Amino acid sequence: MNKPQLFGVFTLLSLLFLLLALGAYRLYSQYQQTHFNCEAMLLVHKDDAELALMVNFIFQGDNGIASLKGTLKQGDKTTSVSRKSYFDFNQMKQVYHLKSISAVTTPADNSDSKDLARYLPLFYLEPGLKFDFTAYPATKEGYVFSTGQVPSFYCARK
Amino acid sequence: MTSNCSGYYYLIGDSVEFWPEENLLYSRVNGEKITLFIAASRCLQLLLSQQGELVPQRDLFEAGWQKNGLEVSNNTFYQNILMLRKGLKLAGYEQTVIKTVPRQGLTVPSMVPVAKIIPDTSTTSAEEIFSVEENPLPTPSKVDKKASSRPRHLWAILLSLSFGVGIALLAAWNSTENKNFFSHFNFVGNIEQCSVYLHSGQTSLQSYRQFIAQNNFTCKKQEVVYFTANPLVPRASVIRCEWPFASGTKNLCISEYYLEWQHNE
Repeated sequence: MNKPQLFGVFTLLSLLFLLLALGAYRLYSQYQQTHFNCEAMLLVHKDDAELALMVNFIFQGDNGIASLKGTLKQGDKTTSVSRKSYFDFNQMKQVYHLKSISAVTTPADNSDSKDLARYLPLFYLEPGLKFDFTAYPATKEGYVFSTGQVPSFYCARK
Repeated sequence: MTSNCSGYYYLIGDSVEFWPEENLLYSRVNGEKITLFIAASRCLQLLLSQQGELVPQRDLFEAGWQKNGLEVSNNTFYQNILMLRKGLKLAGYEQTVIKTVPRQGLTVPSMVPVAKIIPDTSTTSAEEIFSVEENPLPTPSKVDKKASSRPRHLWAILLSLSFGVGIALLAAWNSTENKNFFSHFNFVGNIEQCSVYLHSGQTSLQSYRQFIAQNNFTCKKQEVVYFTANPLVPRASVIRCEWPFASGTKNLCISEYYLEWQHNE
């Protein structure tokens, strides 16, 4: 093999290597966006009510679990919230399209779903409902979830 | 005076090249180059060309010395053969190449893998880059090991460079993809003990002041507050954190979402 041929082979190998590296990174990046857990501390205020929750999201490729634990204060009345929503999802760039499969209320929960529905999207409370949000990266440590112009909460990667 | 290697060479055991015209042994294993006596070189050439056959001592005397009008003693002859053997070992071929048949001569056994190779003249291989002295040194000598490994270094440098470019591209790609959402917030100052950041473009300082007044909002000392309110949406978001968001640092944050709050002009 002469010099120009060697150079050509080297260039091709380099390009191949670059393409492979970029492709591998792309796959890894895609995998990371659909396989992660995060946790948020969330307070929802409305009138004189306050819903205080630890929200835990688990994304596992095409399905996941949203776990809500906390308390709902409405005036003098305080109730416990402990629910899980199982969902399927697909992701397009930063936008996640979710559909609840089942909603589970644990025995520790004594809150009324109708009350909670005043502060939370029904997606978390009932099966068969769609829900979309955007997850904006906030450094590599977490995401800011938003359903519109105003961010909903910061979810820290676990 | 230096000259480039040309003609053919013998490859011994895939590890040592013997260039007869250059009187040179080159190791593919360790890059070693050993310049041989001309006479020793002629003997090795004769032995390799008649591999598997017994080469009588007189033929070796003829090829190495008498052909050039020189006389040689047995002692000098065996010293040259010894140097050849040492040279082959030094070049990384540990097995016996030259076998002595007592009182008859020498032979290169058939089992020794030897190939005669005529390089493509248009090819510049690693082995062809070296240069040798026209008059060889009287003993086997090491010749510029650095020069022989230069092509390998060049490949290593080029591949490293390619790898570096790949990493740089990935890093650039990574930095564009992993933008920090909080980089859209502007620091407006310390208000009631905490550092306040407002979402640029949609949140005014006036709306923040109205928000804290209406909701009795207080924050801890040195707390960082990211506030968003949109005049068109009846929502407000406060994300309270331990410190400003920066790449690579974990942050503990509490998000507060105010339903049905809207800034009044």
